[in-house]
Amino acid sequence: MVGALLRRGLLVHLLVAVAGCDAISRLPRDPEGTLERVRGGVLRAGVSEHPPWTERAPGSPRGIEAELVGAFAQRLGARVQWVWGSEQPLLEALERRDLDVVVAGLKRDSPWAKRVGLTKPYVERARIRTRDGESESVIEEHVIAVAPGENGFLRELERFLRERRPAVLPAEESGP
Amino acid sequence: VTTRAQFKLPPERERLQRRAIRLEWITIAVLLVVSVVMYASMGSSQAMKTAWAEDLLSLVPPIAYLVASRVRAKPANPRFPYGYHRAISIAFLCAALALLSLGLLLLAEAVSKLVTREHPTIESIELFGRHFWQGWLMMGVLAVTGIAPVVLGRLKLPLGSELHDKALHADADMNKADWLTAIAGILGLCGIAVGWWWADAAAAGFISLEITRDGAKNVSRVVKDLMDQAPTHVKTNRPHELPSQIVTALQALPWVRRARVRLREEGHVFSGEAFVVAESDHDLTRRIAAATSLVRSLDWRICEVVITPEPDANADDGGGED
Repeated sequence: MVGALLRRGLLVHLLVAVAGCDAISRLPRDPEGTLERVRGGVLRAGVSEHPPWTERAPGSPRGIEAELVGAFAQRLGARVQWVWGSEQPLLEALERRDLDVVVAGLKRDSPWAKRVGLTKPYVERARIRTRDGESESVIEEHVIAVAPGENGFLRELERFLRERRPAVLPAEESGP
Repeated sequence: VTTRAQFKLPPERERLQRRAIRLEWITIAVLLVVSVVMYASMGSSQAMKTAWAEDLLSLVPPIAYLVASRVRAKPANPRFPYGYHRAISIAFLCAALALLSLGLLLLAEAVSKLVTREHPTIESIELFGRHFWQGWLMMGVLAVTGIAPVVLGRLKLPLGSELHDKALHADADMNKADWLTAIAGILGLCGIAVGWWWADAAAAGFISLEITRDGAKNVSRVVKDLMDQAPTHVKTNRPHELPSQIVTALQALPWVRRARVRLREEGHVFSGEAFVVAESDHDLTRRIAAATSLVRSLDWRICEVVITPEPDANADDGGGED
């Protein structure tokens, strides 16, 4: 009994100690060191066209998510290396950690959620969907994809998105 | 056709059993709450998922116990002339098999995550206006939810011995070991926090090994009981001294020249046969009836021992082996 209590006490101490570390140091750390590499370096960003989230433009890509990535890189003092492509190959490259982030107007319920890391939804958009002549309102939760398991990088991005949180976008009519 | 007389627990054990039943209900309630809280905060940690599966699985033994404690109270009838004492063993066999197979399944999953080098992704959440990594919350949940089963296990463990209930004892043992699971899960998450992607799957592997070991141990114990193993102590699993006590008590009777006995366990009670060599056939029926109630009074767990007179083998061949 004493042994168990002691162990439980130890456990609490451990938790407090680890939680304390969170404030001071930068836990969680990335297994593959993405955040350290990107900071002051290069952010490899995959981008797939999906207006209004991402749009092709002369120079760097435009659109809500492309601009968010640009601002995030700026905050980390990094240069963005944009890689255009379609969603599937980009996400496969992300899974192999050949990219750091992918923006493609992805939603929370993406089937990729098991294979890459997704941020918590940073914006919700109410949309009116018309199907079989009936209109229904749906909430779409948008996310940005990051390399799997890079938890420190993911947290940094989520923190950034939370500060930058765009207002809820106005409802918009769309086809089926 | 005849049936066995109904087995009744002595009043003080009856009270203990009611307490055990109450504790099992509480266990079910606590484990349900724990499972829901864990599921809600689980995220993508394999270790936490495994710990959750273990808690969910720990629901099976208490349910089995509650069901079986109803069934085994039923009186014997012409269709089941020996009564329903074995219900608890059968219920526990099912529970142990479930434990064993799920443990192996989770072990395979953990190993496959290690082999494919899957890096668990854990995002951040917002709670009470603060933004923090969900891993911290998961550790907290594991620490808190690990405590209740341990306390319940410690309360149930002595009841298992006093009621000679191996099912209850094994269930309590499993609850008691829950802190191991919680610590393993927390260590796995700490590992993720410092950037060891493999720590989570390794912790999950450790927990599933524990589950598998529990399952295998219980399957082996309960199968031995169903094979009519001689009675053993609940706590130590050592042979019980009751059979030799019965032999001594019978041989102390003036009319008994020699006695031998064999006993088995049926759930939480003992039954068996005794063979006696009488000095003479005089008044034998009455003497055997008296000896039968003497044997029953030796231990509350004795449900039925049938005493049979037998000829003296030594007398026939002029004193050979016993």
